[in-house]
Amino acid sequence: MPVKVPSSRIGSSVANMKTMGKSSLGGKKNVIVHLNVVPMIDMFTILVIFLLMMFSATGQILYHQKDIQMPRAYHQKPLVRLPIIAISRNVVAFEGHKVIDTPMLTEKEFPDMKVPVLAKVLKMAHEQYKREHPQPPPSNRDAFRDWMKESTQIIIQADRGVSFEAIKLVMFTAAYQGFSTVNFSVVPYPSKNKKKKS
Amino acid sequence: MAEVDVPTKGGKKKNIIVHLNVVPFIDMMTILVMFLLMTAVWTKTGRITADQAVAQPQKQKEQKEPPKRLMILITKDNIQAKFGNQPPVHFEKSGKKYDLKGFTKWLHSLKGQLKKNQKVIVAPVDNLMYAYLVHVMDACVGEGLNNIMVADADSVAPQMM
Repeated sequence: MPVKVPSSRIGSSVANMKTMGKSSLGGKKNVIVHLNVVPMIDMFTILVIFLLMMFSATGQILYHQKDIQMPRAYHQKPLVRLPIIAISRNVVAFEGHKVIDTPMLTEKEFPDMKVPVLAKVLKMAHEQYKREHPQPPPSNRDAFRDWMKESTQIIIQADRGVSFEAIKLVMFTAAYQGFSTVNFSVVPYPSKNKKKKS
Repeated sequence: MAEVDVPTKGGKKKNIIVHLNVVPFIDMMTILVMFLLMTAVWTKTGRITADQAVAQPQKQKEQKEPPKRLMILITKDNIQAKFGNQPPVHFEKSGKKYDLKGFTKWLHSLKGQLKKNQKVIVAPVDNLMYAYLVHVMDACVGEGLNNIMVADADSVAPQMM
């Protein structure tokens, strides 16, 4: 095989193209147009690899709202699907439906630490959960323990600037209705900046 | 169509052009890309669990706590932490930031004394930003303290003396 001087060369498919190849030079008219699909396949492959890396089997559990900027944390567990109370600086919503205005959540307004409007929707949610997932008999210890653990959990997706007083009232109301375990949703810090444990 | 030039035996000039049909490959890739784009999770979220809900303020009642309880009070100016009967430790704010490094170091120094499922009571004051509560809880989880209870500052403050 002869040694060629290294330089940029066009591929065989490009040489056959109507505009750049033989036919453009006034030779025999070529009816078959070759389309170079190699860059497209390359791009597709990169895109598929990138999207596969982003894939999550659990899907999107929380929908990010522009008025809720969640706090960041280094150490967290993955989220699971549970009832969600979203608290922005203006509105408290349960599963996407507005319940009450956040500025109203003060101990002055609710001295007994219970927000009746929120309690009503939480009670309905808890009852619905009980209907859909009947309580196993206490004799079945493992199933009973798992049921107790799951049925008492709730997610609080709150804005980082909300006062603890509002969070406290929501938590206490939830506890009244049987949701005694609270999961605070957070945004993980990028793994690059993760604190190294000594 | 993609073409592959295969040289014949004996090194003759004549090449056999093999046509490779890439259309099914492109079809499959397109479907895969569509599916992955639709199911992609663009922002990751996590959770920090607080096992108990808020305890009601009990200002006048004398509370009987188990002896080795770890209590953390977050005020506007500092983080106050107390373990068992030890005197409380204060981590003052520097500027707008809480001294989380010092607090984490202190938690780390307690490691030998803490029980396996040590209960931690975190009590922020009412007007504190929620983010600070999460930062303190994050520091606790980082030191392996997962049994966190969020309480009212009024119920914890008398015990910090």
